Amino acid sequence: MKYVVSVIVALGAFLAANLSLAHGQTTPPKLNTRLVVAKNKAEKSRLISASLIVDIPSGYHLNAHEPLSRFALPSKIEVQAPEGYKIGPIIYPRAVVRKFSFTNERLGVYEKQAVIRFSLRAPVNEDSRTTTLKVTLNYQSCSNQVCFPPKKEEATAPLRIGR
Amino acid sequence: MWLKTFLGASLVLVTLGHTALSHGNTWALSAAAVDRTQPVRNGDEAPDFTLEDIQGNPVTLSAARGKSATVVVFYRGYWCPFCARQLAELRSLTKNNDQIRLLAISVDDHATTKKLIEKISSDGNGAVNFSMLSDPDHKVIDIYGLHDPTYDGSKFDGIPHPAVYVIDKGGRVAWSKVESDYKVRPSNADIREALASLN
Repeated sequence: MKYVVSVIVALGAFLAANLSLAHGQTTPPKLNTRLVVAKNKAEKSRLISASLIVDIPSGYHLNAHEPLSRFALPSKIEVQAPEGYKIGPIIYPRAVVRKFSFTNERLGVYEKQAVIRFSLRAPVNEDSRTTTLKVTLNYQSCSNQVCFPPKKEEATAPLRIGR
Repeated sequence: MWLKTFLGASLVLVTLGHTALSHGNTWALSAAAVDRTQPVRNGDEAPDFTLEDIQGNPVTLSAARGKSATVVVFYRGYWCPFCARQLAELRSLTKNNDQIRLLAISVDDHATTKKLIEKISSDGNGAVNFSMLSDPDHKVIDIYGLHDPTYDGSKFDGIPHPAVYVIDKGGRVAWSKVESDYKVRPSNADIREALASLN
């Protein structure tokens, strides 16, 4: 008997939590961002690949880089590389196209995780050293309930040049 | 025994479900009750103000007193897509021969507002045909009791709860809509109906 009641109560709690989530979050999400440099010891004048990995909590989305709606602020990154480095093209992930209850427009969004890739080229005469690569993500997040003011998140990673 | 257990479990489920369903609204309502301590209401005299439009010209609410009704729209900011859609729709609120003044207020600076105006106008459905005023210190937002404290201390300090006021020629609030659901805005038809009731 206790087992049956426990199962019913647990089921009820589970449904309650999910209904609450579906109703919509009303406070801004806390994003987790990580900057990953593909080759930790970049050889001189070689191309260095890097990715900004953004974990988006459940119940939220970020407007994509191309969000489809002119009123949705796009996600974009700014790369702050050491002097003399050339920043290659930034490749944003493909947007998930969603239709939300709050608008008739379709929106291009990122959910769960977005990986933004880019490359750098170190100058030929760069000395062997360790420096820092910094990326700033500018984004606007929304839930099904509300959109939040735009925010910035910074991520850094060590960049080791030479042998 | 089984019946009692079943009824007890059902009660738990119903309570939990109800709590979950009402969670969002309860939060919003309690927040609203705390935030909007004294919003200006229907029948109140509309607090007077002077704010700058995007050209830097001072615009005073009471300048229209005795001449025309004024619609005052408080919106959250350039970043708010619901607000931008509302402002885009408001372009068709008034006709050329209407004796109605429309003012839209936010904490945004002029440069930011200009960008929003360009964005709104980019759909080819006409330019923004009303004054967009800047209240950077949210003084007017505060005296209307619309200050949303959620972002106090941040770059977005002072943003208002979205609201629309219809103010008659005598300077009294004839109709108002202060939204607790940020997705919802009054339609032009709602505002026109309020304006029509002034005559």
